[in-house]
Amino acid sequence: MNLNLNNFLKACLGICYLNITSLLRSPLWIPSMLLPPLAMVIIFFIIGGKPLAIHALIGAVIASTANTGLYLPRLVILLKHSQLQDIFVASPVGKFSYMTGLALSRLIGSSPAILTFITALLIIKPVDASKISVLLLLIFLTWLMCCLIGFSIATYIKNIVHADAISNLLSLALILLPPIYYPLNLLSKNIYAYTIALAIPTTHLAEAARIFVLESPPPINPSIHTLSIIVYIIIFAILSSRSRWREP
Amino acid sequence: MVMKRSYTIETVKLSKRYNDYWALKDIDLTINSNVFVLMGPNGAGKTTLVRILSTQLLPTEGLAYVLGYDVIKEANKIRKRIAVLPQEARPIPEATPWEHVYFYLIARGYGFSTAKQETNKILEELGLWDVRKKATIYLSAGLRRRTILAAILATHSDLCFLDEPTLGLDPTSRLTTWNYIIKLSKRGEKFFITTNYSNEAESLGENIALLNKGKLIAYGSIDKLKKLIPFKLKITIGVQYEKLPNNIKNLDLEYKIIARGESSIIYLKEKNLDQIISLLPPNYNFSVAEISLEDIFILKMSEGAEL
Repeated sequence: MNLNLNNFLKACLGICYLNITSLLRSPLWIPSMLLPPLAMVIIFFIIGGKPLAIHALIGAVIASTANTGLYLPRLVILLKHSQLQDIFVASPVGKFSYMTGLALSRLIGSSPAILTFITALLIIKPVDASKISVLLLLIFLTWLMCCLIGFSIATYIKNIVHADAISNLLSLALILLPPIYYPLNLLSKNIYAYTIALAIPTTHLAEAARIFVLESPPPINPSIHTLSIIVYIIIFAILSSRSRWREP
Repeated sequence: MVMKRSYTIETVKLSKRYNDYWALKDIDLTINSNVFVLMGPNGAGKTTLVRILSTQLLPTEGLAYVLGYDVIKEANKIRKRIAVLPQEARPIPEATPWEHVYFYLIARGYGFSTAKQETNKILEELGLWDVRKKATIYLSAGLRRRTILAAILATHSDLCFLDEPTLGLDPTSRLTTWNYIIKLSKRGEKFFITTNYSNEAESLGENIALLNKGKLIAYGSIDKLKKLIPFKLKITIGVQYEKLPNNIKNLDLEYKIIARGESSIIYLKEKNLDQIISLLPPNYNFSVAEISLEDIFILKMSEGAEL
């Protein structure tokens, strides 16, 4: 592939910047990103005290990162609808640069929330540098997987009126309901819920963070989480690569 | 099939079908002029043609070459040398005109200082300098349109596709835009423009094509297009068609009367002018003029088509 790194980075920068202008002009986005996960942490603190709040904090880190991708369909459809995507299609900017630029813009948008929850986690439960590196790797994988999910779904949304609803449903299905804010072993008494939870890609990211960063006792073999993360990333990479840059 | 690839744009039997509807059918075009204008009524297929040629849409049948490259197989080579202004492109509401132009140029691979220079230059040329720091959400529709247009023109691409570039612009802004396009075309930049405005086509187009219902119905310079019409003159009468005397409606001559609101237009040959004028009642207000591109457009569109 004849990929000029300099041009790739410039394309990402240009697209990323144009899509964070809304964030730069409205400081309200920071509390809007920060408060929903914080509310979940508070709820779990009330229910289960500090131990469950720590799990919820890990969940808040994963959820804040996952949101970057899950709200991508909305952005993709909006840019398509405003014909800005067409301008980039008929230009040297390739599909991969375009997608990366959009994904980065959402990551920047979520970064204050992600950094806040990491800081809170480290204050409440100090961990060594190696575990911080693992957490950062898991944040990267969460961002990657959820962006790929977002792009895959955006490919199939034809009507802009569905964009918001689909992003909200994704958030419900991949963040709120599965064991993201709470540990998987809370579902161990219900085999159906437990099995469904294991089929959800984000479960493995949150569980891996608990096992590798918090050193929680693993309810299942940790390698299952690692393998699942890799498999899901490959599946969604294939699905998102099928998205059409040029209309048939 | 062996193609001559010396044209800016060349299409052979280019067609596009959506389900059972042919949006374009058997378009044969060869374009080499710096400014080419495509005119046609709404739904004629202008945007579909622009989208195919600018590599956004695949054709159903036929061949198309842009700057010598095949639009199907060599899209990436074309994309490096073109820019497109879609018909209904809207800027990002929170970004300023300066940010739109500058970061679009950066995304296309321009150097940071060149992008800055070009951004400043185009914003001044298109009268956007004073609003360069305002989020486009606070700008009028015309200024928002000009913002996107500025980003496209600032690329100085070998070929720019402008789909109704002056849509929604006021007359002064339209003139400024035309002048700038003419200036760029004199430097060798090429433009493929679609428009509904005949005065825009006349001002800009060295070559003009008329498209209707997905088919190319006329193509050439304005002089060549005028020769496609059997009439050289028109009489505009300030009387509704229904109120015209019957002896004018039923002449044994080659002429055509078209109703236009409160007035009627008679298209005629020069030699019949005196005869027709002598039949007009003395209290009728009328004027005589040579046919314009708008008249050619009206007459060609009315050939077997409803207007």
